[in-house]
Amino acid sequence: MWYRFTRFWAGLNKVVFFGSLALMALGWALVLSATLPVGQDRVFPLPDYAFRQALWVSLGLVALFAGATVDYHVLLRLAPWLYSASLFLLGLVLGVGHASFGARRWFSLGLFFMQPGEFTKLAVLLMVVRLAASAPDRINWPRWLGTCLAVVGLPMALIASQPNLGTATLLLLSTMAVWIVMGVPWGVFVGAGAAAGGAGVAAWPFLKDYQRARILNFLNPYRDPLGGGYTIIQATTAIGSGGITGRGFLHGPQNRLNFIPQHHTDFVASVLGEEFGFVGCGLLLLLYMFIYLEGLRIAHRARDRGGSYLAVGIISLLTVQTVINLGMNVGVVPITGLPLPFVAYGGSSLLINSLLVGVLLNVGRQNRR
Amino acid sequence: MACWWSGWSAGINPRWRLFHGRVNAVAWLAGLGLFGLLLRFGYLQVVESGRYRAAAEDNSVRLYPVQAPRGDITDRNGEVLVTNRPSFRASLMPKQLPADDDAREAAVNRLVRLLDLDPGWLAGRLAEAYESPLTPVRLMGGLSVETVANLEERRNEIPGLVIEEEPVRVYRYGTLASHVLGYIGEISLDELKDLGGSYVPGDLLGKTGVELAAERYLRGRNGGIEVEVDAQGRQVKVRRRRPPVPGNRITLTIDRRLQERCEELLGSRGGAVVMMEAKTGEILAMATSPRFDPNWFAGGRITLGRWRKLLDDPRTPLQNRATQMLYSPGSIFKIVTATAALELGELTPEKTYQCEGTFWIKVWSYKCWNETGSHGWLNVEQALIHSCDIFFYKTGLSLNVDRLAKYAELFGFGEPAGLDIPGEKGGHVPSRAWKERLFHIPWFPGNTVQMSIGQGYLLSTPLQLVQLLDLVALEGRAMRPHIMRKVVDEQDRMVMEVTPQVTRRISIAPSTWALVKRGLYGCVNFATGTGYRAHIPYLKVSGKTSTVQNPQGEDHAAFAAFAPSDDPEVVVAVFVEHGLAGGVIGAQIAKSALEAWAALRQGRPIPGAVEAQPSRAPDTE
Repeated sequence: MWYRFTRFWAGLNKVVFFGSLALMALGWALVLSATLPVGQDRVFPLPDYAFRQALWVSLGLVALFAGATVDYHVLLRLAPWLYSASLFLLGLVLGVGHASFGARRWFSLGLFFMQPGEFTKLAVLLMVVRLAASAPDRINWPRWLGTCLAVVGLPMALIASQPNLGTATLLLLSTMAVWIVMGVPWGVFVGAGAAAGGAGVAAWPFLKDYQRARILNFLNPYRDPLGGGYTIIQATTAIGSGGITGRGFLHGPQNRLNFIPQHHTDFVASVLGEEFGFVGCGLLLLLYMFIYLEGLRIAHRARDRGGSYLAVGIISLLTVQTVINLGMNVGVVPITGLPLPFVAYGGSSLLINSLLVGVLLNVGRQNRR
Repeated sequence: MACWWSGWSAGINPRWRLFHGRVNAVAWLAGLGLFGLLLRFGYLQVVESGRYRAAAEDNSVRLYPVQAPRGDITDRNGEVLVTNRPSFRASLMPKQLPADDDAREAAVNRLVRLLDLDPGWLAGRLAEAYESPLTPVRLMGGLSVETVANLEERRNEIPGLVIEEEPVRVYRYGTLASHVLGYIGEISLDELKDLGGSYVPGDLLGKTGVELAAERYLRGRNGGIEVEVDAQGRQVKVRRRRPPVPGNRITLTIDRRLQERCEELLGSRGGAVVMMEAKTGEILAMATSPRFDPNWFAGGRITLGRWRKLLDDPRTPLQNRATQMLYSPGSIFKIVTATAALELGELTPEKTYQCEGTFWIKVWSYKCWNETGSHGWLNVEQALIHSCDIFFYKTGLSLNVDRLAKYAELFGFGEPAGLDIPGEKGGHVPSRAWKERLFHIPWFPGNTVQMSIGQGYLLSTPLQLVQLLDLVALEGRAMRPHIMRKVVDEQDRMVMEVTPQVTRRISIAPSTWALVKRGLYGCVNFATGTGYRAHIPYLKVSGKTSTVQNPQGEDHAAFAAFAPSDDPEVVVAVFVEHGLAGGVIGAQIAKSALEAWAALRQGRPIPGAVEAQPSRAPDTE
């Protein structure tokens, strides 16, 4: 038993493992700061959210070890089943899900809400990797890309109709990352980008007023400072006011006086920016950079194509979430509901991201030395 | 070529070359994304940090004003008429109202019902509050303990409701002198724009009367507390406090007892009684009727029910009958006609006209009030005593409208008398040009006939009648009528003191004044004079009656007088709507008022008066 554990430990990628742990610890502290009641200057008594997040972190660790233990080939074999199950759940949530902020994304499971969109990410990724890994050497690109798009497009459409454009975009972008590493010609990406841009411009006259308002609010938040632009303004104000060294843990007024909406979930990075300043944000970015480059190193040395594609897919899922979330915190990306991996409060996201990292670690354990 | 970070070497497996290159491309993309974010963080947190720090400060630090207690208002003897008492105020934090439309509406409706607010007003106010959602909306002050208890019970159903202590204005004698004192209210957006910096939304300020005229003395300086608030505008902690400076105390020229007596004399009839010190212009009493209770406004807003009651009352209780209501002056104006004619040589003391009871111009007839024609031949003195209309018709015609109008203006008609509380009207002196412009028909001699006895197009306020009598009493000088006497601060240091001031001078021959005064003396003191009912055995009174023809109903009664006749000290004017005859009710009221004045001067109790007790003012809602 001890021997098996030491072997497991020796094969574990320490940068990814400890990096993720550090992110979870930081996230816990930020959630604590964000949810401490107004006027309470001491950490104790801990707010409810801190206890729950601690529970999620421990469950996340279990998921991480589970992912690292189960051979990823098994997951790839199970891919079609997982994929079908997640499609079923997505269909179900549209029917009977719990609505919040105008979107049906959650299942109410008594105490907690479950977001099946999160689990879809893993299932779709496994399916795409399976397709990519089993592609023949002399490949018929149009046909293969068509199949792959159909596989990704169905869950994407279901998620987009929740509506949850952020997760849908995330699925598409991580699929494209797998395409990049499997060698899809660059021309395809250029063409797709041009087509998307053209479609966006062409769609402008057909957009509904509120959709246009959302885009205009993103381009200029001060257009509607108390409505559509409020969150962006408050978040950037919090981050900017942090300065170089920040205002100190638990001492950010924007955060502690609840000026930032959802500052324990989607806008937890603004708490970091306000309380720990540029130094804190820089260190966070550095930490992500370490984890992601280390993940790609695992992809380089993976045992087979399935492993490396899987590693790239997982890293791209995490990176895209990170960049989009931080981007919306600093006001350069429109607001979508993507949480910051490992840091933001939330069970579904933390569990699935831990599982993803676990699978990545499993790929790493089987790396060529 | 070996990759520096992945340890991968191109030499290991050439078949995988494309794959490794592509993984590196993904690494570059991820790295670029994160690096771009680092630049953006640097821009926000290093370059623009100062601006955002200031914006964050603006968000959470708020200066709340602490209303300064408004200054007291006392009568001329130092008796407090208006003061403050501790009370409660309800306001609303718009940001804390439920976001859900239905719940929000339910909460707002509950408030409207509990405080009897105007729903339209509240909706408008909340719409304005969209621009500054963290500033409390002032709802109503002066709340009774019962209302506060009711509100507290339902506090959970109305998120954002704030109940705070705030002194409320108390008008201790209820409706007493309500038009003089005026009322207060919450500052409006327009006033906020006009008055500028030192006022903030939710401040109370004087809207009419002395409260408005002396606003800058009464107001004091608001204090403030600097508090840290959260995103819902809830106070988290107090950073600093500055205590308010109470407003200054103002002393009026009004004598409370005299004012009370005059109001009692008017009773429920519409009208006004104005008493003024002849030589100083100090208004001793300005009784008006109907009145209103300024306490209704003291909380900053009046309840909807009470507001409707005031607005729907056909007798317009908010209007000051002494300065804002225009009536024809009636026979009192004969003083002007007589003076003008004597000055311009159209009359001599000896000249007589015959009163035939009816005066004819072509086919139009103009009657004397005494249609029997028993006035016979009279000179000007007798005409004033008996108030003969036909004598003045003839005199007026000999003067013509232009000269008559000129003298009317000399005597202050057509122009406010200059009272120190705002809103005074000037009345109207008609002229040929005015009539042609307005009606497109020429001025007829009949118009002059009517004007010469103060009827027709001529309009004035009761205060202008006081001014007219003051001019006669002082023989060509009129003092500026004023209600505010002095202002002192908390330490009783004089801040402002009003000195008597002559506003109007006319040069008329002393013999003319003497003659007119003889007429006015006779009018009151001869048993056949129309004003004999104002005659007082121990006080020589000179005056003139007026019965104002009123096409809308019963005639109005008026009487104006000064006393004592040889060395005038007080001027009084009485105007009673639908009072029928100035010689009866007008003269009676003036007599009682003058008796009260004389009694007060000698330190005796006012004969026939019922002394009112100051009330603990009722709650304003």
